[in-house]
Amino acid sequence: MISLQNINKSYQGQKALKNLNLSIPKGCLFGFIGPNGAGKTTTIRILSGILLPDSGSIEIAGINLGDYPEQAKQKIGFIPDRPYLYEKMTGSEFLKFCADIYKVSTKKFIDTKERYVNLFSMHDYADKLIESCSHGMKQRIVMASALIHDPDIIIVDEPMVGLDPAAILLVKQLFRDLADQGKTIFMSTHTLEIAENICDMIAIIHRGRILTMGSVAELRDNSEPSHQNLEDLFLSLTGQEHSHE
Amino acid sequence: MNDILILLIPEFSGIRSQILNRSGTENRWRFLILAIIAVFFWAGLFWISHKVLTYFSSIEEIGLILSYKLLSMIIAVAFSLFFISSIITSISRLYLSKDLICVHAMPVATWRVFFSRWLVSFFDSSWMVLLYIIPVLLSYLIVFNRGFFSFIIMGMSIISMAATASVFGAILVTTLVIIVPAGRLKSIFVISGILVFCLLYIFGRMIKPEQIVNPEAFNTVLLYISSLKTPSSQFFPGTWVFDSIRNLLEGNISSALLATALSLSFSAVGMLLLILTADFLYKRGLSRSLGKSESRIKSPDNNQLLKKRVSSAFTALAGKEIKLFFRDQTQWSQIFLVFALIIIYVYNFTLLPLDKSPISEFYLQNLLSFLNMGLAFFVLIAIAGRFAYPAISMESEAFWIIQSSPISLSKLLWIKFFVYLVPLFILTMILIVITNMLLHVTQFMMIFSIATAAMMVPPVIALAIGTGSIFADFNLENPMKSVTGFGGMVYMISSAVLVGSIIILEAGPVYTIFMADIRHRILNTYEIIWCAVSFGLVPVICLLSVFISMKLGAKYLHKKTSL
Repeated sequence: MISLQNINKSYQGQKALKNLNLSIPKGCLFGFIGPNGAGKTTTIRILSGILLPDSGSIEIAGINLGDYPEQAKQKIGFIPDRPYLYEKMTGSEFLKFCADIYKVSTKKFIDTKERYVNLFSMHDYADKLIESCSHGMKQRIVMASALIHDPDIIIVDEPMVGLDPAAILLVKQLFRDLADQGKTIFMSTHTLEIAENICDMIAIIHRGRILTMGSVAELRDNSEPSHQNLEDLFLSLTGQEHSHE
Repeated sequence: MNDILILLIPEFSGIRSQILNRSGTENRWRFLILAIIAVFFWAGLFWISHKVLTYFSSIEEIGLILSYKLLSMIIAVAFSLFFISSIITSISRLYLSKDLICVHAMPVATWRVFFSRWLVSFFDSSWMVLLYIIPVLLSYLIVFNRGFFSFIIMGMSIISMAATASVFGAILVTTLVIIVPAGRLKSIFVISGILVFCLLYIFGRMIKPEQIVNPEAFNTVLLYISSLKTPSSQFFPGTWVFDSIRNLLEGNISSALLATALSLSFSAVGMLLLILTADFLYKRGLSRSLGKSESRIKSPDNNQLLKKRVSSAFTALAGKEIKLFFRDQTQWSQIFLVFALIIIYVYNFTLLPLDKSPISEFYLQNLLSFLNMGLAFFVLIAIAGRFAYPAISMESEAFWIIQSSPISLSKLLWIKFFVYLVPLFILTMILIVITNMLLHVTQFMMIFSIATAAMMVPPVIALAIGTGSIFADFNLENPMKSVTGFGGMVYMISSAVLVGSIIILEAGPVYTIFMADIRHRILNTYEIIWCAVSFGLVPVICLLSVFISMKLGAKYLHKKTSL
């Protein structure tokens, strides 16, 4: 469903991604983890068509992103880490705006909007200007807007930032359900516990290279006996250590 | 005092990094061109002031009075500018800055935070006026033959006046924020400021200042001269500054120093009062302003949505553009300025003394109609610069929404193009048709002007959108101001070159056709070919300008945002 082949990306001579190869099947909840500056956000921005890679090719649901960006983006729902929105629109207006951009019929929009307004408990602020919403409210609006066109692929950058515990639980459940329904989810996160709990596959990226990739069980099997959980493996692979008190 | 200085460090660092970032070749050129323009403007101001004062000094009896009256007017205008500007910058710096929460969490007394912010606001609100007042003051010193010492004293007086105006502005803001939250207060001041400016602008034109140089109105001028001797109000803070400068120009140094000392001490007392006010009110106002205001807008219900037939990316983006425009007071309030500009523009045509001209009225009317086209296009360039040029930068940090959507950047640019084309097309047509009607031009000139205007509006809008995309900056705090930058200058120059080329291309053929019509003769073959080629080139140039601007805009925007 998602395929990245030999992706390279540099910023002013500094290599951000080095020969990145990934293949994610349909219905997979894919966790992309790595320390700060590892290349997670760059990968996500390339995948969502915001940035161009220096070399390599990307396929989204069988469509080459470089050759047919508009068709490929039609299949994606993108949730960024920092939800900058049109501050002078209301949440409802923003959802309708996204629906129109993604060519969602009015009837379908009404049904889908109802569903996500209920799911994300947006009733109280859907008709307020976005500028008066908190970070968490904005994040819920962004999530609803990314799902409004029923995308086959959902790309999420740090989804839990700014959400309260109830919302985190809700999002975890939502992503799991969507993956079970056959949607492919590419999720970057710092929260290893979330990746470990809900992801079907996990890749660890460090300094622009994939260090390891596989299901949680496979990663456990391949790790050293001293690694009790994903956190130990992550810290060991990325050359970081536990801070002991 | 140490805390206040520490709090100012981020401001100094910001200025320093801006200067250091100019090290690139492109930035160096940009800086150089802007500096040259600023120097030319500055030199022009000096030249005009010097010319006016030299002329005044040559007039017996009233020359000196006129020079002093002009000085008092400059001081009054400068004080008003300092005051109005300080209100707007005080609201932003003291109540709306993004770093306020971080700064107020520091272990520093509130009044110190306030005072450091006020210092920055004082600098922000006054540096530009101070910069442009220097050539005027220099011309006074040269015409009145005074030295450098006088310039220093003058400078101190003017700075003290700026500080006083800033203190008044800050006290007013600090008090009003207790009643109205800062965000709303800023909107009120911005809108009322623009309205007052528009009214003054229209009023200033309606009083017909050109009558002053009309010999037939000489009796009125004599009455005016006698009114010039009316003393200024003693309660106006600028009076000390005026007294100081006048005494300096007359060589009364001790009186000048006394007036300057009074002005400086008044500013110092004002600052003390400001600190006391801040200590009492600032924290309360800030707490009120940091709370979010809620604006609820009813969304259309499901039945209403289903009634809407058209629902596409175009309507979504165009609708978004219009909604955001009319919900942002800094944008829609500028429509008042456009209306004021149109009123004055049209009003000027009603005052033209065509019947008194030695040239044939018929000839003059049509000549003016042709020149009017050029003027109307320059008005169009200015308005498109204000609204269409920043359209891409206005996407700001929310640009990711477009980037990740199935909309190509080229399509986005075309949608923006059509959104701004419609109102600006109507506006240009109104200007052209009404002014032509006032001039009673021939049918040929009317049709010709309308046709040229119809062809010229799209390339000007395309240039605004295209250059606005090439020089798009999504991190600007106020994208509306982007037109004052280097990209805005490129847009202005390229649009002016385009308008100039079209006018030059059409001038010869139009003159030939017009004169042939007056002399009742038929155009010869050479003239017909010349006219056909010239008129044929106009739509070609316009179409090429539209497509090249839009293509380059999309190409550079894509390059800028995806690498």
